Amino acid sequence: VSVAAESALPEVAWWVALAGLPGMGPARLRALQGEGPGAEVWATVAGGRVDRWPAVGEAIGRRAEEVTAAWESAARRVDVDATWAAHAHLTVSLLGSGAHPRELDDDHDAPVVLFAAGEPEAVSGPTVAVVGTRRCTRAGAELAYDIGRTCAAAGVAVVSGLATGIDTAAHRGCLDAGSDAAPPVGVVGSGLDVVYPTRSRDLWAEVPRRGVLLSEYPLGTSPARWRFPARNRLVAALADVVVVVESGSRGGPLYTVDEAIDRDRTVMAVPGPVRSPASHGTNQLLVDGIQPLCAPEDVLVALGLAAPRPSERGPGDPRPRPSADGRRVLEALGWEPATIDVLAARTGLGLGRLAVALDELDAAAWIHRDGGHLERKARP
Amino acid sequence: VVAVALRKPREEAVVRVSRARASTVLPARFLLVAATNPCPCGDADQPGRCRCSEAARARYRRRLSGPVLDRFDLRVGVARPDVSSLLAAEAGEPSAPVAERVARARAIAASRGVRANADIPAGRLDELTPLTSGAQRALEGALEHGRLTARGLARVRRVARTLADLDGVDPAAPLSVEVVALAMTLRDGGGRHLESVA
Repeated sequence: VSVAAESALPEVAWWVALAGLPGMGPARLRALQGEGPGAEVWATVAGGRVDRWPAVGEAIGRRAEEVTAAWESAARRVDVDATWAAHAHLTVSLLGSGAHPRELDDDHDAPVVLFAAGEPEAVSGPTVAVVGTRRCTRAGAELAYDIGRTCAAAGVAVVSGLATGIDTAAHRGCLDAGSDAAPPVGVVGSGLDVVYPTRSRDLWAEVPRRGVLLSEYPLGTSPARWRFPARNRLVAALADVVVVVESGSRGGPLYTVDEAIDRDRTVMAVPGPVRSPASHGTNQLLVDGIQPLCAPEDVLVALGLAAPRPSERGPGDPRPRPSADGRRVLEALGWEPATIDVLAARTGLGLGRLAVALDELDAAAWIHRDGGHLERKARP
Repeated sequence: VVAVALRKPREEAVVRVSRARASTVLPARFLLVAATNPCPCGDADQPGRCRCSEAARARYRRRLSGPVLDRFDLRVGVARPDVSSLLAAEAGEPSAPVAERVARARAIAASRGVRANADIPAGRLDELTPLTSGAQRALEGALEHGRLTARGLARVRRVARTLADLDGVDPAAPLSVEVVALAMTLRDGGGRHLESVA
């Protein structure tokens, strides 16, 4: 590559190439950015002379020599022009150039480069992040959907990570809110062309059409485990309010909460049954003093977009009203999975009457049955 | 593999052994009782605790083929007991009265000329397992929605017959919607297939 051709590249192109080097994370990339313009940094990395920069060595930590050697050998094989050309269809912004979303430009842990598919302006209005465990309950997924739908319809963009479970449900609600609703904002931990998980394939396509899909990694980057906490910090940074719908006592959602508190974002948690492992984390957040969310509209109140929720009832449930036996079963079922023998003991109904009531509730979409376990559904 | 190999003997109650010189038919009437976890880690009944990926769960369930599952008449979901119920469990019904009820039901079956209701031949189903109109509607609905297969229908009627006999109702009365609904619930555990949460 001739020097003339190299100098024709925009500054951001060098950072795209640098972001694609093995073991490159946000902190290391920022340390490199502190050392000078992209073309010079690239030449230093490819020339194996990174040890000139103690700040970069500090950002790498242990085994700095190994890491920089890997960068060097990878950089020698990279064609910066071709890499840049491959990203032509995306909006690529560079930290400090004024092109980043404002929340990220100001962030103490900002991404050096940000790749956007779709409309980058989607993050400019009020935003809510809806996060939670991949292993959620049906009730949790339904509530996430309702929050996504209610917020999007009220003009609040829904930020989420496109993971299975709560993330996916929230975005589906957002997409179902109609064409003039606020856009979905997806933040992923791999290159924008590396769909993960594969079950999210349709969201991966739909989110950029209606809103924006963001990543700090170049095309082709695989979804390594360490990239998900990093992704979660971007979700927290982009949100005005972070809602945790369900979370176990450990896991990604709680990491997002830490990042959100760190950035003074409002955090809300949905109270759950005390024995449900999917609510252990959220209930503990409430014990720690996090604000509870008891209805999707509470997000709008927190954002100052709605008056506090009046205690009136919403529109009636469209499902056929259950029979007396059906109501007894629903009451006994509560919001945790149960088996038929547990229900028989709780209701005192004979198994035959119970089976008839379950068939009625199933036909009217009041319950969901799976492999001998019954769960109540919040809506048809 | 074993479950699949047992499919034919289970249906025909005989084992056919064919070797170079002879083919022998041996009686093989047996009751097959099997247990499985809901997922590889066994915690799928408690969302949030289960550590299995959706794909791992689906793979695990596929190991039991539909045709094999279709031959189990009773499938019962079992919840993990919590600590308090293990330490201070309520006493269940003693075995002696249960055994008495089973003996009575068996005697009723014998009076129909079969060893057990499971052996009622397809040709005698209408005669021995007549249906109330409510039961008829419930079965028609299940067939229409694909909840029951044709084989399942005959089996549900036999199980419902037994449930009615155990309840001590008039052995000649048509089967009620309750026993038919319970027989179907016991058969499919209420779940037709694995649905994803989101």
